[in-house]
Amino acid sequence: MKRQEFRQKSNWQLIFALIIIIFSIYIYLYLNNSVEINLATSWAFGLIVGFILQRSRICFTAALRDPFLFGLTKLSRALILSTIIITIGFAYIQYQQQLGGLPIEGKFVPLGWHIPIGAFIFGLGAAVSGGCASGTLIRLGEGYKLQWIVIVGFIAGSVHGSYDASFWYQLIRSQKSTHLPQLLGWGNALALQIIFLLLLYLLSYWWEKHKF
Amino acid sequence: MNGKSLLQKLTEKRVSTWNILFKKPWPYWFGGVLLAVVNIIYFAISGEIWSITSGFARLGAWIISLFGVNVETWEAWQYYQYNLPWLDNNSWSNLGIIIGALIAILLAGQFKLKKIKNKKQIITVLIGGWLMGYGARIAIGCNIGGLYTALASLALNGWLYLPFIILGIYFGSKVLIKLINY
Repeated sequence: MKRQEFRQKSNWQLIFALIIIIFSIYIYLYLNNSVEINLATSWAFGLIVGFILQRSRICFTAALRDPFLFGLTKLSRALILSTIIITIGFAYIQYQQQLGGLPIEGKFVPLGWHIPIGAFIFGLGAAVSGGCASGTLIRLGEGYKLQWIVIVGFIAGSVHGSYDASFWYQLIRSQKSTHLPQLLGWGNALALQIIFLLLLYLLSYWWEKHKF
Repeated sequence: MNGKSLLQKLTEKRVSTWNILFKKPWPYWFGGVLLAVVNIIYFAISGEIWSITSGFARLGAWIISLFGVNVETWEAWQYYQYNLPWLDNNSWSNLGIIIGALIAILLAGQFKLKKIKNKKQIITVLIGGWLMGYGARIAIGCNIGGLYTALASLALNGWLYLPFIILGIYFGSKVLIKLINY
């Protein structure tokens, strides 16, 4: 009886999933045909990332918390591995941009005390609300009503932060580039970052085995 | 043949493939590798880099602009451009992440609306969400744009971000444990 009930329920969910997939493809085609900017690619990218993160239960907050609270580093090591791979891929694309005489793209933020302060406040919030930015979006999709409250606070806090920008960005120390290859050269920058990530990986492994 | 017909065996095999792909959680490392590959492809074909919270800032700014607030002159937009939400790449990828997760959990047959436990929880997470939004705007990046894709870009600011988000999460977790106990 229980089994039968379960099967009926998951069939209903399967049909619902198919309807949403078809609708998502329709949105993709609509964006692709009617808007000149690359919104369709972002939409498809989001769908795939949401799918991957839900399937693999990846949570950045847990990866940054569990080594210190519980001595668990499996998730942290998976994300360090992910960072190594993405570093190599991005470096290749950036290098091609440089060769082509294009501006090098990346998430570059001028250095200053606003980064430590902001990162600390973000971390506090992520721990208290039970999920970071990606985690909050995933849990919204999974049907957690609590995350509707988180997202309201999140958006309100974001606007509040943008409004206060002129105050906080006085802390920006210099507008110099933070792109490591421009500071150290491509070979050194790439080698340094990957060796450091590998050391973090090994340290995490050792931490889980022996320290906790 | 162990008392099972070929058809039965094939059906079983199909069910178990389905379970591995869509029902059981993938291993963390597999998700991590896929996440990196998808991000590299996204950067290569669109020139866009994944970030989340600047999309929230644009969405929120647009909402309050409906009430007559002049948001376009804010200094913040010198660091991340102001776009209308429906013309903003981050807003579309954010929406995609929600729907992608919904599709994944529906295919697994595990979707369920999960209730809120109590009022204390509402206030706690409202403050938590607010802090995340505020902090991400000060640092110009959340755990994705400030950390994951910043490190991917070989940006020094990503390495400055890492120790302080860890500290924040550590103290936040201690506070949360205290809150639960009281």
